[in-house]
Amino acid sequence: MANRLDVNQPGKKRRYWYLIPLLLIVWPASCAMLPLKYSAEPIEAWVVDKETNQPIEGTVVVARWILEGGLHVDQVGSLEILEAISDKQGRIYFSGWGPKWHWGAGRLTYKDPELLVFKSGYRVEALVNEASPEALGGKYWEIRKSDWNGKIVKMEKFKGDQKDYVTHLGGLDTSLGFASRGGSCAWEKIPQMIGALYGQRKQFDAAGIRGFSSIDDHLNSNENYYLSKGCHSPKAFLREHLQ
Amino acid sequence: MKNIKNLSASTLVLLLLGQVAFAYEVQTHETLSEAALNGSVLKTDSSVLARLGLEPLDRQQKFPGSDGQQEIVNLFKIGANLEDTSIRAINHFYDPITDNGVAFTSPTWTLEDKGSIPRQNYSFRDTRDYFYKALTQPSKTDREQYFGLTFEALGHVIHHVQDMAQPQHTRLDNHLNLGWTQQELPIENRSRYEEYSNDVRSNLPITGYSPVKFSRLRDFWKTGTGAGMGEFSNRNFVTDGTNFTLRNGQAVAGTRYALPAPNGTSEEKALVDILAEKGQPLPSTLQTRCAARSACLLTFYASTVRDVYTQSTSVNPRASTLSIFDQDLKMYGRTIVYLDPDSLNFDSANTYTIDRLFVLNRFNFDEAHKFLIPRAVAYSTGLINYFFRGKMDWVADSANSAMHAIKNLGEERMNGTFEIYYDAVDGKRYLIKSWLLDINPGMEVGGLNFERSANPAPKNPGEYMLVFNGDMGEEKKDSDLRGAVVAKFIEQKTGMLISVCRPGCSGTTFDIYRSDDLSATCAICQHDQRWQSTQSWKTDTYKRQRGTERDEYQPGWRAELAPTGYANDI
Repeated sequence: MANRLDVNQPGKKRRYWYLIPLLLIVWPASCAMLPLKYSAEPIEAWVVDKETNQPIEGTVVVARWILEGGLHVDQVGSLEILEAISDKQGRIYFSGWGPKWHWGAGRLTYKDPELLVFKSGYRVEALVNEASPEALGGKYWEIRKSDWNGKIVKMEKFKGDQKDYVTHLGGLDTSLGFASRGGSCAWEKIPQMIGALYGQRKQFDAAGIRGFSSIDDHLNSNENYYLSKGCHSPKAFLREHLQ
Repeated sequence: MKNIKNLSASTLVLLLLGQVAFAYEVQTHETLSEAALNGSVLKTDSSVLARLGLEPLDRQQKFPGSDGQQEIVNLFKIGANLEDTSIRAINHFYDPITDNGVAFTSPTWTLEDKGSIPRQNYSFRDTRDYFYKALTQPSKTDREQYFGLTFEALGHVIHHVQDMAQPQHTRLDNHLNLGWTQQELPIENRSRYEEYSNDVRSNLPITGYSPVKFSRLRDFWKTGTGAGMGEFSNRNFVTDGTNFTLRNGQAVAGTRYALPAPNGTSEEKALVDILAEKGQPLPSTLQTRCAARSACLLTFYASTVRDVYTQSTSVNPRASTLSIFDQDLKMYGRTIVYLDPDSLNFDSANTYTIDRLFVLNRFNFDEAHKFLIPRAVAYSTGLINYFFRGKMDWVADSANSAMHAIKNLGEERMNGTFEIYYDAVDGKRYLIKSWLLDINPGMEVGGLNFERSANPAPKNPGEYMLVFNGDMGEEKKDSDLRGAVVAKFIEQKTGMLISVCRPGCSGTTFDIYRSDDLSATCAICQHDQRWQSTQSWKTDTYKRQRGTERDEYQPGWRAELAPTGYANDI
C-alpha cells in the first residue's frame, strides 16, 4: 500500500490544490504586514461658543489617528495620540508628525484624526474627516490632513440638568475607552483630558450628583493592573497631573 | 460535533465568499448598552441591587472584569464591546422568517438553550451560573469575581438584541469587513449603516420606547406574531442588499422578502435642500452639478412600519431612496445595468438600464434610527429586567409567630431550592439551611426557621442572603442547566428605625435609617451630635427616594421615629 504522502510515486502529478485556501488566508495577512509610511500635517483650529461666537479658553482636544481593521472592522489601535488645550483666543494647535512606519493590521481611514473636544458645561464634540469612499476603502496616501484645519469649532452649551449631563458625558467615556481598555497605557498621553474630567467629577460631587464615571477614578482603582501591563504608575500619574 | 462542523464550514464559506457582516460598531454598542442599563431596574429600582446586598448603581461600586476593577456600567459596556471579538460575530445573525443564521443563530448562541456550545462562555445560561456563584461562593473575592462576570456577560447578551435592531442581521444581508489589508480588498463592502450609526452615536435617539416585557427569552428575538426585535427589523426595513426594486418601472419589494414594500407614496427633493435640512452644504465635488435644484433630485419612497408589540403603525417616509447617487452621495450620472438585487437568476426580465438606483444613504439611516435605536435600547433593557425579574421575601409567618415564611413576590411560580447563607468573621459565606419549596406567585410558604450560627461568628449579626435556584417561568433547572436564580438580602435586626425628612420632603419621600442601638428613645430625633458620626447608621436604600445622598447630618433635616408598620416593609 503506497504511502499517502509519497511524492515520489511515479506517474502522478503533484497536486497543490489544497494550498489555495491556505493562500487565501495567508495572502491578506501577509499584505497586512507590509509597512506603510504615514505622516500628518499640523492642525490649527479655533473653539468658540456657538451662541456668542466668543472664544473658549481651556477646551481640551484629543486628536487620535485611528487604525481600523480586524475581522470585525473596528478600531484596532491608534497610530498617534496628541492633546492640546485652547488658549485665550480659543486657538488649538497640533504639531505635524511623521514620517512614521506602521506595521501590522489596521489602516487609517477617515478618522485621521478624530478630534474629541471637551469643555465643562458644553456638549462634547467628536469631529472626523469626511467619510469619503476612498477613505473608507483605505486608499493610501502618506500625508494625512484634518478637515478641521483652519476651521472654527462651535461648541454648544449643554441644555439639560446635571444628571442629563452625566449621561451625555458617558459618550465621552466610551470614546476615551481606547486610553485604558485592554490594559492600554494610552491614558499617559492625555493628562489634560483626564484632569478636565477629574475637575468635572469634583463639580458633580459637590452638587451631590452621582454616577459620573471618570477615567481618573478608574486608574486610581487599578494601580496594580496597569503596572502589570507595563504602564507607569497610575497613582503617580494622577498625583502629578491632578493638582 | 455536528455544530462544530457547521461552524467550521460556515467560517470557511464566509472567508472565501465574503459573506460576513457585523453589527453596530462596538462604540455604538457601548452607547446602547449604557442607555439600556440606565433604563433598567438596576438603575430605576434601587431595591433590585439592594436585594443582592449591593449598593445603588450610582454609588459606583467596582467589580473585577476583563479590564481591571470596573463599575457596573463599564462592565456592561465592556461585555457589549467584547461580544464582537474575533469569530464570535459570525453568530450574530438571525432571520426570523427562515430561522437561519450564518453559523449559530443569534438566539441559539446567546441563550445556549439548545445545548452547550464550545467556547461560548458569555451566554444567558452562563450568566445565570455566574450569578448563582456570585451569591453563594464561600470566598468574597470569588463572589465579587462572579458578580463582575455576571454584569459583563449580560453586556454580551444584550449586544444580541441590539444586533437584531440592525436589519442587515435579520435579513442576512451580508458584507465582508476584513480590514486585514491596508487597501480595502475588492470583495470587501463595509456597512455604511454601521459606520454612520457610529459616527452619530452621541446623537442617536435612544429614548422614546418603553422597556419591553416578555415571559420567554426567545420572544426578545422572535415571538411568532411579529413582536420580537428580529421580526420588527426584518419586516419593516430594507437593507443595502435587500432593497426595493423596480418592476415594470414600479417600485416594489425585493424578491427575497415580501416586506417591507413601498406604500405608494414618495417624495422628490433636491439634494441641496435635504442637506440644508441637516445644516450641511453641498459637497465641493457637487457644487457645479447640483447647484440647480432640478439637477440632483432624490426620490424617497415611504413604507408602513408595523409595531406588533405596541399594536401600532406609522410611516417611515424615507424607507429607501431612488436617485442618481450612490449610498455615499458621491457617484452620480452613471447609466448602469440594474439587476434585481434579490434575483438569483439573471433573467433579462429583471434587468434594467437605468441611471437611478435604489440605495440607502444617511437620510434613510436617520429615519431608520428613529425606529430602531429606541427599540434596541428598550429590548436590551427588557432583557436586563427579565434577568432580575424574580422577587421574594423572608417574612413573619402569619400562622405562627415563632416561625417565618418565604413569600413569592414575583409573577411566576418558583419551584426549587431556597438556601440561606450568612457571612462570617473569617470572610467566608456559609450555607445555614436549605428547603425544597414550590411557591405560586403572591403566595408564601411558612413554618420555616433556622438556627443563628455562632461558629464561626457572623460578621454582621442579623444579616443573611436568601437564594433561590430552580424553575421559574420558562427557566428550568436540570442537571445541565442552572435554572432561574433569585436573591434577597435580609436583615433580622431589632434596632430602631427612624425616618429622615430632608428639606422639601413630603409623603413617603423620606429616607429610612436604622440603628443597632436599641435605645427606646429617638435621641437622633433631637438632632444630637450622633449625626456627626454616622458609622453606626446604615442607609436603607430600599426606601431612598430623594435626597443628596450624603450620610452626614445636614442642618434642616428632620428626623423622627419611622411610621408604625414601616418596619414590616423592610
